[in-house]
Amino acid sequence: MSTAYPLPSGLSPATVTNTASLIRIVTLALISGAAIASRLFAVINFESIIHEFDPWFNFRATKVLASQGFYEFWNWFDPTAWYPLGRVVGGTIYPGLMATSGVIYNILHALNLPVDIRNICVLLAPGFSALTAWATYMFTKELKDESAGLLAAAFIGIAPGYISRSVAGSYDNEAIAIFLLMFTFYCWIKALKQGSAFFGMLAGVFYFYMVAAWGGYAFITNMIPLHALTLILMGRFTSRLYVGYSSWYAIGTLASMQVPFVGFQPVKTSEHMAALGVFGLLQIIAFAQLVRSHLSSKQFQNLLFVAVIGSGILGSLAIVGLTYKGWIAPWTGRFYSLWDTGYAKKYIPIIASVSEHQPTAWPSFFMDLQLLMFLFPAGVFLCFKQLRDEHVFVIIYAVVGSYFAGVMVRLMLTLTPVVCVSAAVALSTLLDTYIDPVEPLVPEEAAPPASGDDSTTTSASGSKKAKKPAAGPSEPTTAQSTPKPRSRPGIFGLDARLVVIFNAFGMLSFFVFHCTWVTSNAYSSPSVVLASANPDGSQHIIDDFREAYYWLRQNTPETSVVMSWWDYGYQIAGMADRPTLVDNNTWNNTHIATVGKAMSSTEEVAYPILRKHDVDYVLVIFGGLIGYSGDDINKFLWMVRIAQGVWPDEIQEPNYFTPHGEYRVDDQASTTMKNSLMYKMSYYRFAELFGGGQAMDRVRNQAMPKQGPTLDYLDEAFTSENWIVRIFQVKKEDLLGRDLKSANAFSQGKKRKRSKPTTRRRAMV
Amino acid sequence: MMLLGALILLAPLVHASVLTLQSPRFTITSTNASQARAEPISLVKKASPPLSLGPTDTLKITFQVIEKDSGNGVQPHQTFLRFFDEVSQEEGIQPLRVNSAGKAKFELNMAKPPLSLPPTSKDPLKVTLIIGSHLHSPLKVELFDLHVPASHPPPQHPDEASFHPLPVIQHTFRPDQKLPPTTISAAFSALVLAPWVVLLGLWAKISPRVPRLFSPSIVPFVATLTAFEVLLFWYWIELKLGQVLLYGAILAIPTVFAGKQALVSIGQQRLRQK
Amino acid sequence: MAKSTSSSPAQTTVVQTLWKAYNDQTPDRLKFVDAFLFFLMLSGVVQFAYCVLVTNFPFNAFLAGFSSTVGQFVLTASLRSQVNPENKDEFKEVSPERAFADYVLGSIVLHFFVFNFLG
Repeated sequence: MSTAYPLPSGLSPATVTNTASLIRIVTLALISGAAIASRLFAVINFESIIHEFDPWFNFRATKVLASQGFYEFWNWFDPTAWYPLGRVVGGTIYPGLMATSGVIYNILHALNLPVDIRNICVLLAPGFSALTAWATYMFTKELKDESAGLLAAAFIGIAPGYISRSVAGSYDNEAIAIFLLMFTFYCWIKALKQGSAFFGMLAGVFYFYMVAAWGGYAFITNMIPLHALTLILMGRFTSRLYVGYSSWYAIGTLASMQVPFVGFQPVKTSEHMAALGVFGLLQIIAFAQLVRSHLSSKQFQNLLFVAVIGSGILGSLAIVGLTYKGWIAPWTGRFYSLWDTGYAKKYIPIIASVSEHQPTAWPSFFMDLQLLMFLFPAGVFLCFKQLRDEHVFVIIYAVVGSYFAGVMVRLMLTLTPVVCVSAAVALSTLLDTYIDPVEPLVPEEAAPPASGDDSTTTSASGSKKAKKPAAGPSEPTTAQSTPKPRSRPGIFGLDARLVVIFNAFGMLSFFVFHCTWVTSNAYSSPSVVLASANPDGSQHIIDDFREAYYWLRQNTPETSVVMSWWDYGYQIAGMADRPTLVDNNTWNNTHIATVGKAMSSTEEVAYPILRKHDVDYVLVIFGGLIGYSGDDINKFLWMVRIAQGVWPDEIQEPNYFTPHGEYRVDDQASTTMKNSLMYKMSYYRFAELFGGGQAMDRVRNQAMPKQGPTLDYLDEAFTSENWIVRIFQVKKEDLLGRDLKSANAFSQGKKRKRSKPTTRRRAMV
Repeated sequence: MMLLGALILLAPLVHASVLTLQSPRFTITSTNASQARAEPISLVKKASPPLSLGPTDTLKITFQVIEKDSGNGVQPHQTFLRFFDEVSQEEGIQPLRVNSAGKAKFELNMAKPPLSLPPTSKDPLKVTLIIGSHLHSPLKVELFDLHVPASHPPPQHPDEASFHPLPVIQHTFRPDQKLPPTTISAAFSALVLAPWVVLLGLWAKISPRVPRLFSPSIVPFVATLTAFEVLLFWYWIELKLGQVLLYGAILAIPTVFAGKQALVSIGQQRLRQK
Repeated sequence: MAKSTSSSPAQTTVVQTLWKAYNDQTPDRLKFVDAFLFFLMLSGVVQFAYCVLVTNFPFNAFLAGFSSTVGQFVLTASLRSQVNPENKDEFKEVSPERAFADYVLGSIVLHFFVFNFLG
């Protein structure tokens, strides 16, 4: 047997195995370190701070949990959110994330490590990303081997598609959910392979954890039954499938009903019915198998076949019937919007208004997955070639995940793990083939290597060697034991190997560069603190949000109600600690539409709305001065649309456009636009800032009129350094009973036009 | 400041002086200048058939404001006539001009009614004279009731449609779900427990051999398992989640060891039998 | 299907043969397990009938009770198929002892959730 490069000889197999496993452990530790480290850009570039919007609520809830205990948290009613309605927090959240940090907090404090709860929250996502890498390693190991597992772990550790949701400070449900997703899948595969009730139960328990942690648990709820059903249809029913699925479903479903927010949904809504149906089907099939084992009459088998089909049809008819009768709730709007991408825009603008619910743009696939995107189909193809049960799972996951990732940006997250896994399988197969030192024998006839025998390519390769070419020395033992000279495909010579391997490593290192670059530039901004570059290239921190929120916290009474668009509700509650009208938990569309109506109507119309809701301050985000594009004027059309959905007579979207159908804020803006409260608040005294020069809105690149809007019913209370946050105080009713407009005119010394009083009496003619 | 102090000192003094009307009188004239009715107004009692104006009639009121004690004419600071419809609650205020001698004259021409005349129906207007002066105590005289031709009903206020008292909110709650009668519950409890009989019967029939159930290697395992079930039952009755998890974790350690020992011994026996 | 339903005597013989074959071929251990399964099935059916016929009022209690029978049923059925000598090839990595340990663990976890849900 000739080899392409010399191998050390005289090593005992035990040494080789031990070294290999040591190297694996070290590599896995390094991967975990890399996964954590690359998520710390946000902390290093900015500071240890909670990011974005939802995490602020999670953080606030965690503080309640940590300070008041679990049962108090469970019964927490928050009167400051959704003023004046309040919100039952305990029953309307997925508590998994908070419970996790609460447990970590308590453990650390029990060990006399007085860590601040904020730091736990900030670093939870990076910590769990290391666990995700490990879970992915385990999962991929079941698919192929350890080397593919290591590659997959490395990929998931640094893939931007996952980092985007798990940088330090991004304290959101997804932070732990992806780990749970991967681990549940791993347990499922393991349960299926071994037929072990233990792993089935473990899958059920982790499924429960997932249900407690993230609304996306429905993905698992439907993926596993889909896999099971596919296996049944492929004629691959085994008792192992029965054991794994039944134990997962029985324990997982019962456990998932313990989460108050989920409640009885698993037995009452359509999203969960697939799992129940497959469960029932499996029972029937298992019973049929049992009967058949005792009886092998041909006629009876036919009867069984018919009975199985018939009961399956009956079962699905029953489910449909129950849905019609209203016992089982039909699919929710959020679910429909997954199938019909136009659905949300038509019927639920509030869902469509969230940017992460938009369909994914093609470049973002490349941005988030880069190299993996090209390896992904190859990996799926390799799965087809082997097609054991677990490969079927990966194929289904790939198809379903790709579809969902195309529908919604945020679901890129669920696609990322399977892309990493199958890309790792593809790349590891490539490296296996090219690093394998064994040269194929040259038969006398010089026949080209036949492509018939596939399995040997991978099965003959030993433990580890994907990571390092130098780790190859373990080869000869396994390869020599089964010399199959004729059918074994292989590579001749060192040069061919080196070309391919160098290419592969080049691509991998580019991938690493890309990931690091994307992470540091695109995904590490807390969005509470912004950064810009000074002319000399140094970093300039824009801290307007916190400036404004702390102003609110320190200068207003604790009971003063702040109205803003719902995006900022959680931040105001978290940082300013003031009651808000609406927040990111968008459960009450009408309430949000009320805010939208107040923002988009004239002052006179808005004022009674504000007063009726006890609003003391109105907060708007305005980016026109420094060019911050995520401001309220850009979101304004959504406010109009949502308000229009509830008050179609009073608010009409076309009124906010110019006659040419443009969305403008300058001189040509429509009258409705110019009179709307949002416009007035945003541009109030904006022109004065330019000292008589031409005022420019830098976001929309439009020249603003010299004469800015005036406000009669609101007072400017605070404007942050860069004008990003503007806070206006709502005036109380005039003491003399005048309407505020004329009171304002009076105090400005304007003479009221003396109008002749009119009589209310109209004589009969 | 000094002035104000003086005024406050003076206040009780001036309050004592009371105003009254001298020779108040009304005259109703028709278009043809004929005097339909002319009477003095009594300050104590209203004119007994209420006054009534035709669509073209004119009502004239004259009086003089005097100080009751001295009898001098006084020019009050504010003098109003108030027309008030007690039924529809409509009212109109008409300021009057009083000269320095305290004499005042008001003319109400129904052909050209003043702006202050409120919308009216068939009901009479109560006419009141209100006099205010900061040197005297205020005076309010009910002059007479006045019938004027009905006008259109008052126009609706633009906000009328949306502003009016809302009905009291009646909360409707879902009715409490009720437990079925005890007899039915008891019957079904018996029914639910009935399969136990079946189970025991079947087991008795099969009568499996458990030769080693009480062997020393297995008893601890069975005991710890029983302890687990008791713990869970106890959880149902009174324990809290944290306690159960703690006790369960502690109990798990001996269970694992006992289980391992028991199962290993059984496994060895099985392999021996082969 | 049509043939077999039309000839009911044939079917009864089929059931009889099935019963006979079951009695003959099944070891006592498995019969013991099967009796337990039968018990669980009866119990579940009665509970379900109560829910449908009378009331589902403490729905969580019903679900806890019903899913305890269902869960126990599938766990026991899993145990049965794992220890069944005929399935030895399928469960290479699961010895009967391991299966029993899994069964015990699964049951404890199941019971924990059942008691938690019972209210």
